[in-house]
Amino acid sequence: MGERRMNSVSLAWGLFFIAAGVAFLLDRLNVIDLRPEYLLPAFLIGIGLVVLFGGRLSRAS
Amino acid sequence: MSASAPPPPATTERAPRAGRLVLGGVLLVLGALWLLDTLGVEIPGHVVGPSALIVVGVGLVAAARWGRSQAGLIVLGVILTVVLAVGTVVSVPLTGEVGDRIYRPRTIDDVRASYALSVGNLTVDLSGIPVGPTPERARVGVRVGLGQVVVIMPAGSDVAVHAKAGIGQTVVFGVEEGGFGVDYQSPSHMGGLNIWRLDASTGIGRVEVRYG
Repeated sequence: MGERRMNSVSLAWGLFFIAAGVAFLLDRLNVIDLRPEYLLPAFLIGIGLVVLFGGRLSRAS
Repeated sequence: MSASAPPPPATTERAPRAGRLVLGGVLLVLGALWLLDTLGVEIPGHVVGPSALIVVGVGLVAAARWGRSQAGLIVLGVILTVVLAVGTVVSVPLTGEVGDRIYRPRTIDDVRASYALSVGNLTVDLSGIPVGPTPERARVGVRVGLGQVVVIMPAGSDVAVHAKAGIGQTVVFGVEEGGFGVDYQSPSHMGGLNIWRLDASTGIGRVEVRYG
């Protein structure tokens, strides 16, 4: 049986969407308060992490 | 010169399509929410969007092990994320009528506590009300989901304004603010007891407050 290659881009985006979905869910349930002024920087950080670690995982696999 | 080593054989495990995984996940979540609702557990409708985004994320993580590119799912996730982010920033209360409305109360007793419109232009002209007999801390709310709010206050009256626009602009006695999540609060001009308290807001659009 051959070695499977992990698709790092899908993995990174998947983790990002899970984190974003959990944050939105907690906001809707009034557990946390997602303020507009924090959203854009938070997304930039998240997408930056996806680009960084997606590429790193690609080279490692 | 020896030939290079042959490439490893392709995996023999059949890779499921991520779309099928996500569809299955969405059906599973929807079914579970429906069942819980039927059993009397209150499920708020606004949790469906974030739940769908989590399912897309789980589908991508699960599909990543088969090494396939999942551009379609990534695009779907990005669209969902943008829609949820806009929904977080912008509250568009679509309650009330649709169209253009103008209200011109002539006495303080004719003034409603709130005026609302779903979509359109809403003008509340209070300029015909005499300044003198204003009751202590008269409060008026004016709200439009999508469109423009114009409130014309009696000339010389003392007004404390709280103006909000999810996306758009507020112009309160000449002070302009614009962009996302605009939230402007003016102080009472004279600080007396006989003041108007005005809450004017729009989800997407423009709020203008001026003297008549």
